Amino acid sequence: MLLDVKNLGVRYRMDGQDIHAVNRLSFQLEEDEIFGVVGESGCGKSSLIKALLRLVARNGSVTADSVNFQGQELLEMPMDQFRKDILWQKIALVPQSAMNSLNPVYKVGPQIVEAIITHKKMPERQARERVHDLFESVGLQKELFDSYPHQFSGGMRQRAMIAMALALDPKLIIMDEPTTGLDVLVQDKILKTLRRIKEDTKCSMMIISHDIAIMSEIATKIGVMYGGGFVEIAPTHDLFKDPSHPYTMGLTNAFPSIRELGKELISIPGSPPVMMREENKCWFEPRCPFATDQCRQSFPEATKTGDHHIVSCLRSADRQKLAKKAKEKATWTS
Amino acid sequence: MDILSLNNISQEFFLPRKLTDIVTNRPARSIRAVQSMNLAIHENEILGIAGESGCGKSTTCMIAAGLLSPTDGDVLHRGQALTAMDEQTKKTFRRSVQIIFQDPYESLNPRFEIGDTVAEGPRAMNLWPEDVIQEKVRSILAAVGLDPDRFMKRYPHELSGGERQRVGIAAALVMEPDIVFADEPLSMLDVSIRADILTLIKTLAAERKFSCVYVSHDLSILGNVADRIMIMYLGQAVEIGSAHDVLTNPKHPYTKALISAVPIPDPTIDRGVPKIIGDLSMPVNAHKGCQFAPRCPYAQDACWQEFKSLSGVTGLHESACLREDAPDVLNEVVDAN
Amino acid sequence: MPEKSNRLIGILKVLHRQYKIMTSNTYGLIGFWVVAFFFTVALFAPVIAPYPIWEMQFDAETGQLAMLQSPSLQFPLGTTHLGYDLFSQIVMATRTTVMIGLISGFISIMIGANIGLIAGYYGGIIDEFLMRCTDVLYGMPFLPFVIILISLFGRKIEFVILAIALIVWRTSARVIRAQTISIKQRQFVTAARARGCSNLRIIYRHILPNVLPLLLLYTSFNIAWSIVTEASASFLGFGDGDTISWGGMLYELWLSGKTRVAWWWFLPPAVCIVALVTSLVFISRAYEEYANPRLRETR
Repeated sequence: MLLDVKNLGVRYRMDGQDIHAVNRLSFQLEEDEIFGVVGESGCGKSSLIKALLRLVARNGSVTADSVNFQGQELLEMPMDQFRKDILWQKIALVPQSAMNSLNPVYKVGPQIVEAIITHKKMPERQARERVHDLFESVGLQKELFDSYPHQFSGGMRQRAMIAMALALDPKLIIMDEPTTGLDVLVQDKILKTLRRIKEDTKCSMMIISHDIAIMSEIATKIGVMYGGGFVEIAPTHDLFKDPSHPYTMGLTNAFPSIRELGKELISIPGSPPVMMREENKCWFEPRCPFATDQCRQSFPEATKTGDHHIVSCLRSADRQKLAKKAKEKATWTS
Repeated sequence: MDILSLNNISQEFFLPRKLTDIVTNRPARSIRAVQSMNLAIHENEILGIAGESGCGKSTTCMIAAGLLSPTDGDVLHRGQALTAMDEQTKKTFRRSVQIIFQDPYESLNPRFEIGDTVAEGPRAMNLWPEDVIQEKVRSILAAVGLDPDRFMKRYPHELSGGERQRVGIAAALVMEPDIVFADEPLSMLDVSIRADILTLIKTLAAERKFSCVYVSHDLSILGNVADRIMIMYLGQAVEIGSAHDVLTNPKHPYTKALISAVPIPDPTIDRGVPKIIGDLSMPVNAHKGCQFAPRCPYAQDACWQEFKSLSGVTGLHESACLREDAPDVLNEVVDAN
Repeated sequence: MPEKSNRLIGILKVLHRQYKIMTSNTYGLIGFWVVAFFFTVALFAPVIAPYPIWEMQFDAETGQLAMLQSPSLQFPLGTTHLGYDLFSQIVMATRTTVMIGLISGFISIMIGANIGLIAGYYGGIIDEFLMRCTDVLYGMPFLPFVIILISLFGRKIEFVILAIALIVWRTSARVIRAQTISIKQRQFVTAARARGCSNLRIIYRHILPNVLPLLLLYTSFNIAWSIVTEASASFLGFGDGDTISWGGMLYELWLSGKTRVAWWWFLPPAVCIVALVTSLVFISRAYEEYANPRLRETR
């Protein structure tokens, strides 16, 4: 097991109230896995990243029963040790806006060399060689080493950021919307690169995105987030074959596919929760066509419905029946 | 009659000349945003325009909507050239052609109440007396699914993304247009509510009998909403036809590559590998032939020399590929459906 | 009339909002009340001032001309070397200074805002021309320009106001132009254009409300600058000879040659100038924070 998160919570203090961004979130990540995290705006995915990397702002607090990374408790570690041993060394981040993450006044290659040297005592020549290798493995031409960020296209910058993340051979790479804003053909190439990197380095990846089509292509396991926690986690094939949480069912209905031109798209009524407070209930209940009184009164604990299939829904026993019903538009509109 | 037609439209943006250019007497370099485009838009149809960023799809829209005058060529609204219109006709044109914008966070004035935002168009153009405007605003807000009593007095920041986009749609439709341009109206919205907005545009177009030009980079969405699709690459229209024809039987190598790059939300399907060389080329002082030639695995010398622009005759499925009937291009089948 | 009272409520709401913005931090709160104090004094000056300002006063006890007396019960701020009552002078001078500040402040913001909006919105040659005019004004040394204008037109208060307004607008024009350019590129402006709004309608109905915080910031700034300019010009003897202002009082003191002795003559106008100008700057800081919330976070 690479990463084991149990009952993670992130809350922010705003105007004298505790706002929950992440709530009762648990998941496990094995080695050599690509874990796709799917969620809409405000589902808590960026707070999840910040909590794992201990980057939560000062008005926020992180609680957890356990955040265990390779046998070490991440949250209990002293901050400077965490920065020195874990951040970037073991867990690296590819931030969402690759555009803004490179310093515009320095050349890209030397920028990465500099970062490696300051983090790991290494002769400069060796670091340069390392960066040349990294450029090759992410598909950047060597000649680009001495270019400035503004000379890079969006896809090239994203590749540079991936190279930066790979620099110290991390065990886990967290990527925040790695292909958002890129064109499909570029996106296709980045996805291929990611797959190849995983084959070569055997590292695990956690990819955050709102696009379930991309997830279906690249992830080995998908977690669906809603209201600050995972409502369903399953191996990719199982999730699409046997969606067990009403939200997952709704998402697959809402997503167009180029292979099904006539497919009638169905929205999930209502909008995602904002400013969540401590409440003992299912957060999807207001939008759920299958909600019962009980859903309003108790938090749905995660239950196993398959070997690796975990669902947080009180009605998960009826999931096959519900999935059939969820395909009909009338279920969602009435 | 076609509502709107573009005749041989070209648009060039000139880059500022550098000092060295002036010294060496090099002519100003330009970006060809749109090149010899012919396009006709029918009554009551939804036309999708697709392509990667920088392909000129938004520029085409701005030109067709009369917000940008093209370097070359004519825009005709119901047979009348935009440049030859008198004041009155121009006013009718301005009113008949409306836009739904991409970003509902940006396209609403933050200091206008929703009711005023929607009423602004009719007020600015003096379309009706104030009480009629109020009535129409209320009825259009109801039509896009916003309760007028609850929303008229609110400000944009009090609304969710989906509600704002509905306001954007209402503000366009209150003018009672006959053609509406929608530039990526879903890209800023959450996935779970996109379908509603898409359905709303489709049903309103059918009910209120306006045509819609839907611009998007997302072929899956276009396949769902559009009757016809046009594909653009670096300022050139490379293929046009019914959505079904273009997406299931693409003729142009670029369209084929594009379609096979679209991810499919079904892990059991293995889509093909896009056949394409290198990265997006730059449109500055490009060669005169087909812009896709540098990236096309099937390009021959002629492709660099000559570009075949589409005829713009509606209803045809045509591609701008010189070699569309050559066996190697023809046989590359994109496995769709 | 419900419509009229609705409008009144609307105006009150706007004013209340402005008050909230101005007093959103401690300095703004202090500034607001100091400015309010001076405005009240200016408004009721003839009622407050105990003596006519250009009339020699006599000591109540000795019956002699009250020459250069230090503050006493009879003359709270003392008298000048000619026996004029300084308290009455400072009260009346407040009126002049506040009036000059307000009027030239508003004229200058009107010029600055319009030039900024028009240059920023239209761009091209219009922008080029208007901004080069502004640059020329920047090239002019501030005080000599005002002094030349005043000596050209004469030392009448209208001309003093005009001369100040003509030079103070330059900074507001530049800043509002920059803001207009950034707002012009936002999509709601394109949206307004697509809905058939005319250029003027876009400028004044769509863009203006969005530059309003900045506009108010520069209004209070321009008022402060006008007051400083007026004081400087008056101190050098280029004020209106018929009315009295704080700068004018200092000028009189200078002329009398009693600068070293008469601290009661020197201090009040100096303190008033500093207090009012600083308070206006405090208020403009509050607006600045409102217009640019990032400033608040870094504090």
